[in-house]
Amino acid sequence: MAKILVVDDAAFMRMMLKNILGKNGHQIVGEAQNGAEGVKKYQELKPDVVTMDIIMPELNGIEAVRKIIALDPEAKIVMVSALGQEAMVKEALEAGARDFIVKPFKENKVLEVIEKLC
Amino acid sequence: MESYKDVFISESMEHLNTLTQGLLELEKGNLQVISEIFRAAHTLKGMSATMGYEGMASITHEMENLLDAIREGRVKVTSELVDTLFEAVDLLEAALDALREGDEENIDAGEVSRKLSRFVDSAEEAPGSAAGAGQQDRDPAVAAMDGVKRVDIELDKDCTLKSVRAFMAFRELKELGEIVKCIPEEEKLEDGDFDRTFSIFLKTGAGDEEIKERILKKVSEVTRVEVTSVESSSGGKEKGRGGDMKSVQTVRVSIERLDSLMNLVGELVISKSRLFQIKNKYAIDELNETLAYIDKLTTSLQEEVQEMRMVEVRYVFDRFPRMVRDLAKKEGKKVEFVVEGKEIELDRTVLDEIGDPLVHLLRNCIDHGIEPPEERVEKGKSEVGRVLLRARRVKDHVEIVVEDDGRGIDPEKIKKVAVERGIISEKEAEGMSPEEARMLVFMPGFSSAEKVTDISGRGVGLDVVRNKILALGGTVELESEVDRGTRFVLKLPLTLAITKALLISAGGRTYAIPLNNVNEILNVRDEDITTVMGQEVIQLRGRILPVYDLLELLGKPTNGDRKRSRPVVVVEKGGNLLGLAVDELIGQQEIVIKGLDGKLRDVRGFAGSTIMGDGRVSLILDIASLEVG
Repeated sequence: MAKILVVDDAAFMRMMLKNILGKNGHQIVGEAQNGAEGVKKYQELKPDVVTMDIIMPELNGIEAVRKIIALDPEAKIVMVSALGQEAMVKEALEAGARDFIVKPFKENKVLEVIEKLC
Repeated sequence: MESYKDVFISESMEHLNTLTQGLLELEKGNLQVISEIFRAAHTLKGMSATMGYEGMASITHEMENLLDAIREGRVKVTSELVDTLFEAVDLLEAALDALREGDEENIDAGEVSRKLSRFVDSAEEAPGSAAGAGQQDRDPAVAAMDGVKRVDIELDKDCTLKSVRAFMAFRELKELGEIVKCIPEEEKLEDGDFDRTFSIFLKTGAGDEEIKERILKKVSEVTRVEVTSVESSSGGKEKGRGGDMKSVQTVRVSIERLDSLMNLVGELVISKSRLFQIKNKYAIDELNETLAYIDKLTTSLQEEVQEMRMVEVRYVFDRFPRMVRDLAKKEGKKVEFVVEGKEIELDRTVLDEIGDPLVHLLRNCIDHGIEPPEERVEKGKSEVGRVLLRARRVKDHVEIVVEDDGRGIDPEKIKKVAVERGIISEKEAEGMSPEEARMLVFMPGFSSAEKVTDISGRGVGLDVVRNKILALGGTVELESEVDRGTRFVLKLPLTLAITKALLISAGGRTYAIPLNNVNEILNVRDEDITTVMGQEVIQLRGRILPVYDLLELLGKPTNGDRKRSRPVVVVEKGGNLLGLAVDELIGQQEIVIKGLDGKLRDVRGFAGSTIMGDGRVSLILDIASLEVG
């Protein structure tokens, strides 16, 4: 079981992730609607894993990864990407993200990625 | 799996080539090559088994067994045995052809496999033979390339951002060592342009398990990881050079990309000459130095690109020994085939084009040239005929000689056949010199084979060969002496795209004459010209040189009032010299040859067009196809 922070500007996506992760025994410890909020919540909640959307208002996912990694180089961040965002995902991985999942989610893939990190 | 297959095919071709070369040596009694052929068969076996090509795997397995037995002296090399091994190679080649066409391997391995194993079995039955079977894994020939591992990674079939997964795998492996190569190439991986699998070659000290673990743990959506040590697969020769890694540090670039690079360089050359013109027009001296430098750079760049396109003629020559052997055997002739200058390099495009003409010439040598052994003995020649294929670099072109010591071409016979086929009239035949008569073999529709065999004399004559070579900007010469032999000499340009040319003007237009056609340039005064049998000629060092007005040859109106003296360009055409009178010489320049398209392509007398420095287009004269008289 992992403590997870979900960062996404779309409530629907947060709900999807919450459902998938929740029913498989993981605990959603917090949610954030943009990168800035995500960084703040990371400091407060110290989750095991963060799922991070890429395109978000205020602070985008890549910038948020940079900030979180600066605070905690060991942070385990999984990017949530849409198709066609290869370049951005690579950038996030270079910034320190550990893995990524692609929307639309497949339950087993999400779990594979999360569990690998724990 | 597509990319895998391509690599498999091209690598297998190399091994088959090694096998063929090796078997030819083996047949000559050279047992030293056995390790090399053994290794080729072994590697092929491994590769085809991995790809699931069972027919190929089964044949190569038997080949390996047999070769092993030969190596250990349990089986003796006989002509029959080599034939069977060749049969196996043919079958493997057929399988590869089928695979290349996108079919299944489609071969029946059974018979050949049985034949191969029979050689081993019959030796086993013989008394005193060592029981050496069942030791296939002992394989000294396959040396592991120092510390390089091949990591094959298969992604989940619904993996969507494949390129990013590949990127992650790269990142992880970089932590463990140095990546030396990947399949498909990096660019394709980055574009996600591959099926589910890709391979990364890693120079590393890490263990197989460690590599596997790391990928599986750090990269998601990976369904399978396989780590193998890389075998040096490129035959034996490269090995001795030491520094095995060098062979991996090359990049495969498709010919199209080199072509487009060459095109760009060509455009650059054009722009450069344009700059020169502007400089001259406005007399800008400050530009001198920069332009001189740019000139130097473009030249180096051009040479560099040309160099990249150069391929050793070996790639074409290597398939001939086998062909000659088979042909000679079939015709009951004895032939020693000598190949020289395999290391000579030619532009890839030129090389691709000369394969067929060479096949044709070699077939001619064996089919028409070399006599049957009895006939040779009667003539007092050695029973074994000699066929020579030699490449040589001569100044700015490559000369390829195909020579035999056979019958030679009898000009009288040639004339007779030419008259029979209506190529020339009897009267024309009478006036012909032996050299001229021999040139008739290059006429369309000429084939002197008295009987049509399946080898040559199928109507595809030497004219096709000649046209091909001419189209490449080369020349074909023929020397022959009855009962002494025949020699074809092909002169080929090193490259097709850029050449030096003499620019001349005639009738107010500029034309380019490739410099390799130009013998010399004369200034001819009107009074030097005499008329012999309606043809204008001049005396050149005691010889008569016919002179033609270029405009007339091109079918253009000539300017009536002739100057008192005109430049005459002496060119070589079909072995003879002739002069082309022009209005003015402009100078020598590098030109970029652009082909003529569509309807223009068939216009005789022109090899293409080129763009001049000032942006105007001028035509390149094709001396070979220029119609004279």
